[in-house]
Order: sequence, then C-alpha cells, then structure tokens
Amino acid sequence: MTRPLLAIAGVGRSDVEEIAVRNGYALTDNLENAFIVAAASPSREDMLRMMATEPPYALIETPVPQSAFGQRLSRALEMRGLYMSLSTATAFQVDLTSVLCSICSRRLPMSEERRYDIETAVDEALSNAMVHGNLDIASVLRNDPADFDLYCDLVNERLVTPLYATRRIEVLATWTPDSLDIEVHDEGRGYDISNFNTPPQLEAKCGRGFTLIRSLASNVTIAEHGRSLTMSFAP
Amino acid sequence: MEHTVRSVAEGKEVVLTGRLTFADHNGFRSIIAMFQEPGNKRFVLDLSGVEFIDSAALGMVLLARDTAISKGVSLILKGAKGQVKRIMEVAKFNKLFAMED
Repeated sequence: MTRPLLAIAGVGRSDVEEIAVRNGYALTDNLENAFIVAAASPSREDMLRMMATEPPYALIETPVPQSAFGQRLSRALEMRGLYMSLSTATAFQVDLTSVLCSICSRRLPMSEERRYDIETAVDEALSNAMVHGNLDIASVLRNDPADFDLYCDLVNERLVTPLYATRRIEVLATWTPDSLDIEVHDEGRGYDISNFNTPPQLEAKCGRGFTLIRSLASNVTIAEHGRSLTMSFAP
Repeated sequence: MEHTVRSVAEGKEVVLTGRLTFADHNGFRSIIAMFQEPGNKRFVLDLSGVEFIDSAALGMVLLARDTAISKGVSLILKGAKGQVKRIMEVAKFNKLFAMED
C-alpha cells in the first residue's frame, strides 16, 4: 500500500523522518500530492504559497510534535479540510487569523461579508488562545493605561521565552455544504466558561471577544476545560 | 498595523492603516505615549485605511480615550468603514467617542 506523503520545506530530512515514518507517512521534497507539509518557522508568504492548492490539507511547523498526529489532523485529511499546528511565536508573527481565512476563502469561496464575520470570530478565538491561553497573560492588564506598558512588556517577553513561545496553537477548519466549522486549540491552563456569561460594559477594555464570537457563529462548543473552542458558521 | 502622524490645528492626526489586532500592542503603546506630550488639545485617529479590527484593538482605543480624558485632550475617530464600522457599532462606540465620516 502506498503511504501518504509528507513534504518537507526548509527542514533537514533527518529532523522529520523518524516521526513521519512512525505515523505512517513517507517523506518527499515535492509539495505536489503531499497531504501534509512540515516547515521550519514558515513566514506568512511561505504559508500562503505552500497551501495555495489542495492537497496539502495540513501544515505543521517543525519540530513536529507527536500531538500534531491526533484527531484534528485525521479529520482534516478525511474531510479534505485544513489543519495547522504552529508555535505561538509563529502564529503571532504571521497573523494566523488572516492566513487561515485567506486559505479557507480560496478553497471555499465566500462573500466578503461572510468572510469578515468568520475572520472576526476566528481572530477573537485565536487572540484568547494565544494571549490568555499559551502566553498565560491576564486580560485585566489591558484595563488601565497604567498597566498597559506592563502588558506590552509581558507579551514581548513571553513571545521570546521558549516555555510560552513554543506552546502550540492548532486550528482545524472543515466544511460541508451546510456549515464551516473552525476549531482553535491551545496548550494553556484553560478557563471557566461561566466567567463569560456577563455582557461586557460599554467602556470595558476586555471581555468582548466571547460575546462577539457568540453573536457571529451559529454554534459554539467549548471543550478540554476551555482549551478547545469550535465555531460553526452557517452558509 | 502601520501609522503615520501629522500635525493639525491644536494637535495631531494619526493615520492608521492595515489590520488592528491584539498583535499591535507595541504600535498602540507608542500612539498612547503621544497623548502624554504637552501642547495637544485634539487628537484624530484616522481609521479610513484600516481594513480589520478586533476586540483587543477596540480595548486599546478605549485605553487611548482614558489617557486623552486624563490629559484634557479630545479624541476623535474618523473614517471607520466596513468591518471596522460594524464592530464599532456593535460596541456602541458612538456613545463614547466623537465620530466623523
């Protein structure tokens, strides 16, 4: 039986071979026909170029973690959707929201209005996952101008601190004629959803994100103690 | 997000372009720092070149407002359109800011 192909881009073969073979993939240097691309610190332009056609259905930043070969990747391959596993530093750097929505809208044509609704909700989910989840920074620091310098310094510092910066952000997009589903997963400490049931006050500097997501998505599911958020968007 | 600054009567106009998101904290920090400079009575944030904004960036605009109030500077939001206008309407920014087309 032919094994599915995993393409490497800017990565030494030996860095990926063991984990690829262990998970049933054959390595190739050629992007054509590869189901998955493994890339080292991909730029925004790299991502848009490598994912311009389908396949591939997945992009994994190296070093490739075993956690990337889970249900989300399987589902992306099965549904011919899109899966990405990136470090927080890279996801921050490339503006993952816009990269993800650009690739999705190329594969699933949509109106500008629908794209903006989806992009707005995805950005809120990714912002929560990256800043509050993986970088572990409380939004309360954005409440007061006096604390804002501290907030900025903390974000800058944690984006270069391996403990936080290498935590993974995973996104999975799958679609059918009835729905586009996007899941965002982080490796933070999770959160209590009951904290988000109060509508934000007019002058609140934070806490609007989840309200926006709920107003834009037709369904929202939270799992894994707040580390996974799935949004469904009607056609 | 990119920004350029020009002097206008009694203050400054900051022209913002691109996407305003949670990742733009450093850019907002330098804009908010401008509010601390003496001699400004009026600040205009020109949003006509902004294509996308998120709730974290709305929060940073509100921080700019707090700073402006504390310094006695009036802050005007100008030219919001598309997604930016829509999100600002949802957040009821018209109740908090002077908004110009």
